[in-house]
This record gives sequence, C-alpha cells and structure tokens, in this order.
Amino acid sequence: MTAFPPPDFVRTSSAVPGIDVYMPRPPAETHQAVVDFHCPQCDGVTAYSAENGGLTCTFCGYYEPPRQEVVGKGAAAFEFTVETMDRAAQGWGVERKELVCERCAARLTLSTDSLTTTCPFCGSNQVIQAKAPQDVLRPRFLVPFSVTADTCREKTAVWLTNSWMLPSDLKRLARTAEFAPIYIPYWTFDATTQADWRAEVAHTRQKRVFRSGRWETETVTEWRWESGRAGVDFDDLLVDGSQHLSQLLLHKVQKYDLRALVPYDASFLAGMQAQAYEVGLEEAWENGRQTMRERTKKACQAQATSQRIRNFSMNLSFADENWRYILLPLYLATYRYNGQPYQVMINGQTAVIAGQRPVAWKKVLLAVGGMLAPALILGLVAFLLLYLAVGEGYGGLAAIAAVVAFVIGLVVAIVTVSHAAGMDNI
Amino acid sequence: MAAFLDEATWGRPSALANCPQCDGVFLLPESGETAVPCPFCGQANLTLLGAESVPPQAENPPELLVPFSANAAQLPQTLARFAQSTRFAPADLTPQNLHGRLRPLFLPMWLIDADAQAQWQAEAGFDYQVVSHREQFHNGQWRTQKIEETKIRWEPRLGTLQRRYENETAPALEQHAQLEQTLGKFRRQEAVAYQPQALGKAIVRLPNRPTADAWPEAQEAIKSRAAEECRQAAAADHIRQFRWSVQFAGQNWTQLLLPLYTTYYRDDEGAVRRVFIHGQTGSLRGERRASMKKARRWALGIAVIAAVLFVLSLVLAAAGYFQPDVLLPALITFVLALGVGITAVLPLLLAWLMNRQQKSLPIT
Ligand SMILES: [Zn+2]
Ligand SMILES: [Zn+2]
Ligand SMILES: [Zn+2]
Repeated sequence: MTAFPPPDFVRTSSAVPGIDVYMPRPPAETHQAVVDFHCPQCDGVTAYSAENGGLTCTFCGYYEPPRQEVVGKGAAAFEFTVETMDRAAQGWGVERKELVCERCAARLTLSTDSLTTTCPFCGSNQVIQAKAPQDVLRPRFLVPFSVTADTCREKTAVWLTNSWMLPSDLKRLARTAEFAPIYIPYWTFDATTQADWRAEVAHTRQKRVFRSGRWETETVTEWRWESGRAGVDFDDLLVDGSQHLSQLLLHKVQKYDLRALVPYDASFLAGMQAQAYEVGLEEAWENGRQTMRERTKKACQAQATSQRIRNFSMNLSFADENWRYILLPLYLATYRYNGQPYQVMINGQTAVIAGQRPVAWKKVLLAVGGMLAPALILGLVAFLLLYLAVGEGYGGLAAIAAVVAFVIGLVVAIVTVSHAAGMDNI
Repeated sequence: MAAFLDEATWGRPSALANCPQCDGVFLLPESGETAVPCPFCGQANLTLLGAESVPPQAENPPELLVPFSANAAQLPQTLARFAQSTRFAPADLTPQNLHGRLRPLFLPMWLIDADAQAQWQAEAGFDYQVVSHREQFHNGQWRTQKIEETKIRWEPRLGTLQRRYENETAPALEQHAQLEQTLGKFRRQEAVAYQPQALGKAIVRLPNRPTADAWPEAQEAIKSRAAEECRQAAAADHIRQFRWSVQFAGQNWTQLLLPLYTTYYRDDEGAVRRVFIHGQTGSLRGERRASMKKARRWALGIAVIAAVLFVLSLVLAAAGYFQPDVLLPALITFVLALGVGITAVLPLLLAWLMNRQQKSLPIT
C-alpha cells in the first residue's frame, strides 16, 4: 500500500476511535439545472443532428461529435430497492414550472413533464435537468435519433400512397406535415419467472357401445390432474411511461433495438422535445409484471399434454428483477385532411411507421360493390334460366355458382371494410 | 521439598516439577506429597526440579483465570457412571479410586497485549431491502403478494488503524487444539483476574509453546478482532477480504489459566489410564480399558457350564441306549452345550473389540 490514501478515496466518518475510514469518492454532483446549447464559433444555436449523431450549428456548419460510447444492453440496471420505490412514489414534485432563459432572460413557463424547451424569444435550445426524486430516477440511458426528418417525410409519402383505399390527393400532404422529434420515456424490466402449475387436462378416447340393437362409437372425455414447472426469462420488457400518446400506435412502432443505448447526455436532447415519465416506476412495473405473469401462464399451459384444461392454478415467483429508465426516439406528426386531424408516429431508430390514414370510403364502397357483383349477375342468370325453364341443368349450376360467389364476395368485402376501418379509426 | 518458586510471580509458594515421560513442567502446591503421577500423561511420576532449572515460561505471570464452575456435587456421579459403564472394568477402575485421585489442574494459554499500527482495506457490506413479488393464480383470479428481501451491497473501504489490543489469546500448549477438540471449548469470557488463592491445591501446567511460536496465531486473532472493529468503524453490517499491513509494538505476554480435573486408574498391565473432566462443563473424557483378565474369567465360567452340559448330554445319550425316551433330551442338552460353548468366546471378543476401538486420549 503506497500513497495513502489512494487519490479516488475520501475520508468518511468512523464510529471507532483510532480507526480512520476512507471510501471511494462519490460521483461528483454535476447537476446543472439547465444546459443551453450554442455554437462556440458563431454563437448561433446548436442542435442534435440525427444525420451524423453530433451537435451541429445551422449557421456556420460547426460540428461537435457525440461524446458517449454505446453501452447497449449492458447499460446499468437497478434493483427494486425499498428506498427507490419509496422515492419514486413521491413523484416529480411541482418545482420546475418556471424557467428563465439563460440567453435572453425571458421567463418561460413549462409543463412539468417536458425535459427540453426552445426559447420562443431567442430560439435557443435548452435542456432542463430537473432534480429527480432520486438520482437513479433521472433518465440514465437513451437511444439517439438516427432517422432524419427527411427520411420521415419520404416514408410518409410512400405510406400515404401505398393503398388503393386512400384518397389520391394525400401524397402532397406528406410534404406539409411537420415531424417533431420527441424522446418518449420508457421503463425496461428484466426478470426471471418460475411457476408451479396444476390443472385438470382433458383426454378423449373412442369407445364402442352397443345401444338399441347396434354398435355405436362414443367419445369419452377423461379429466386427469397434471402439474409442472415453467419459467420465462424476460429481457428488457418495454413499458412506456407516457400517458398522452395513443397506446395502439405506440405498440406498432415500439420495436427498438436497445443495443444502441448510450448513457444520457444533454447534447442528445438539444433541439429535440423530451418527456419525463408520467407513469411512475411502481405503476409501470405492475403493468410489466402483468405481461410477465400472463406469458408465464401461457408457458405453463403449453406444458399440458392437451390444450383442453380446467381448474388451472399456479404459483409464480419473480427473481432477479431490475429496471431502467430510458428515453427512446420517436417522430410525431399530425396532418389535416378535410379539416380532420390524423396522427402519424415514426420510430426514430428504425423508421417503422404507424398512424391513421383517411380512407376514401367511396372507393371502398365501389370495390365492395364490385366484389358482390358476380354473385348478383350469376343469381340473375340462374333465376332467368330456371324461370324460363330453358336448360334446367344450367340453371341449377348457375344458382350454385351464385351462392359460392356470394360467400366469397362477402368474406372479401368484410375483410376489406374492416381493414379500411382500421386505417383511420385509431 | 526443594525449588520453591519466587512468590512474586505466582503469589503462591510452589514446587517446580517435570515429567520425564512427556516433558511437561508443572507447579505443585506446597505439600508433603511424594510420587505424584503426571496429571497430564500419567505415564510417570513427576520429578522435582532445582531452582536453577526454572524455565522462562514460569516467569510470565498469570493475569486471568477461568475458575472451576462445574457442579462439584455431580463429580462423584459422573465418575461412577464412567466406571460402571465400562464393561469388564479392571479391578482398579472403581468410583472410589477415580474420586480419590481427582486433582484440579490448570492449563495455560498465552495472553498478549500489543499496540497495532496499520493500514487496512476491506469490502464493507451494507444490508438493503429489495421488493419482490409472488403471484398466485387460482379460480381464474390473480393474487399478488409483495415480499421484501435483504441483500448486501459490497463497497471498498480502507483506512488507518492505531489501537492497543489487550488479552488476545493464543495456545500455550502444543496439544491445545486437540484438548479443546476432545474436552470441548473453554468459555474464556468467564475469566476473572488472577488471585493466588484461586489456585487452591491445583497443579498448574506451564506452557511448552514458546511465545515466538504463538505470536503468528495471536496476530491472526488480533487481525480478526481488528476486522470486526473496522466493520463497526465503517458502520457496515458485514466485512470481508480484510487485509492490513501492520506493525506491532509493546507486546506483553501473560497467562490465562483454564480449569480441568484429572484422575486415573490402572489397567490389568498396571498402565495408567487417564480420565479428564472439563472444569466448566463437567463433561468427562476418559480412556476405557476392558480387563482381559476379567473377560477370561467370564469366558472360563461359561465354558465350564458348557462342559457340564456336554457331560450331561453324554450321560443321557448313554442312558438312551437302554431307555430310548431320553435320547431327545440328550440331543437338546448337546445342542445347548454347543450353544453355550460358542458364547464363551463372547466376553473375550467384546473386551478385545472395546480395547481395539478405544483410542487413547490424544494428549501426551
Ligand atoms: Zn456556428
Ligand atoms: Zn431566450
Ligand atoms: Zn507426563
């Protein structure tokens, strides 16, 4: 032991006289309430660029490469300590409603859940790093934007024209839509489940019985008790922490690759919108656990030798539970068609798109008519042939064909209409 | 008696004696006794030593003493039980003999005081609670149960230490570990300050282990005490991987005395067999020795019965020549004689087995 104490240790209190205690220096409190982004060359406003993953100045072209290394799925996760759960339950508090712009001293009022703002007076990008109820409850990791607004526009243009059910004048709307990049708060959960199950499982067998003078085959069902043990490993189950977004759309786009996780740094948020969580850790974990227990239940039931079961019961325990609070990139756009707002979401990492699209119902009705037309015509032909009694054989054949065509047409029509309904009704 | 020790150290006039067999050195109470058998190995009588041969260990004063606390009223019963439960006990093994030869003996341990100055490092463990869940699915309904579990968070800690450690113990006898293994541990926390009158008529065994040999063990003991103190200092719940670079000064060696009763009996061959009683718990450990002489007598007795039966069966058989009715009793008597004859071996076998199984006390 040379050089005592080592440089990264600091003295702490000791409960025993004659003994000195040193502990590792706690991470420096670098809490900065507001980080303001401006260019060191021209003092213009800098913002995060999804194109090259760094900070760029829109005025002079200054570029600052990103600071962080990718940590991916190795990103530190936290345990559900009693302390964290208690602190998380306290919520964000209401302290940061008002903010003074560091550049122009204008007073801004913010909603409590946004992490960033752009000053409407001087246009500077600011990242608000509010004090979380506990340090681990600040966003610690994020997946940076890698899809640009231009890509979004192109994707949307294709998406708005890739179905015949859509109005033909939609394409130009893609150009007018504004794509707002926003970081959405997410909780990721890891856990291992282990469950013991027990159920009565149906087994059927054929039995020959002699009844009222002849042999008949009868199916007999026997219920037998079965039991087993099953478990599922859950790795980074995503539960979103925002309440304002359409859950249906979000689920369609939320396949993120968490191997791209980087430690949180304010520069990734410069010029973007970012939301703090509204669904707290406890509530989100309850949602997560519900998903996990249902999937474990399925895994248990899959072990039964037959899928007809009753009196199913199981005991499940969770182990190795931990969590992370992360931010994930998403583009939000709203466009109007015939005075009606339509929402579009694009995954800021994978460019997967989901949204509402106005359906040209006239086109759809016309198509449905087309689908049912063959049945109508065939029916008419059959009716005429039968009524006039010319070639009865052909009449009967045509009648059968009409019924078949009607059934097929009806099925296709129902599928089409429900598909169309799904497109614009979210 | 010659060679009385200076009263300054022990506060009691004592004669110094050693055992030519096991080399043990003892302090005997002042009495006219001659021919005291070695209370430790029992293999020889102690011989008195001259004042010129006082070993250095006799100069380390006793500081603490663990008094005899075993129920003295129970001792005769304990000894009687031992004597009676020994099969084919030698003639010398009687409760009276055991009790009459009972002697209190004090065994030494080293007591070390030392100043430690050190740099230390360790992993300090802090308990924390985590929340986990169990779920039960029954009758189509989920029931959730929240449970708390305790986990340990390990963090590095290091520091300096400057403390005096007093009365750390280390074995003063080579046989100490075996002794405590055989007899059971001594409750050292019951030690009181040494008073000469507490020795009474007890013999005191002197250390045979030099302080230099005991010092590494004493250091280990001090180290684990220091580790515990560092845990307290760091307000941790646990400590592990404790390492230190330490310098000791001001070592002071004294003795702690542990109480033990010893007694003995002689087996057929006249060899001394030792019986020890823990001075605190009263539990007895002794060498059991069956008397082959006694076993042989039993065997002979049974063999004589067998022989009588055999003769009787012969007589009956002869009578059966004239009176066939007694042929059956003759046969039965013959089989009986055979059976008894075989059991005649049993006493010898049992005694032999017992002597074979019985290991001698691991103290020589
Ligand atoms: Zn610039
Ligand atoms: Zn401003
Ligand atoms: Zn001896």
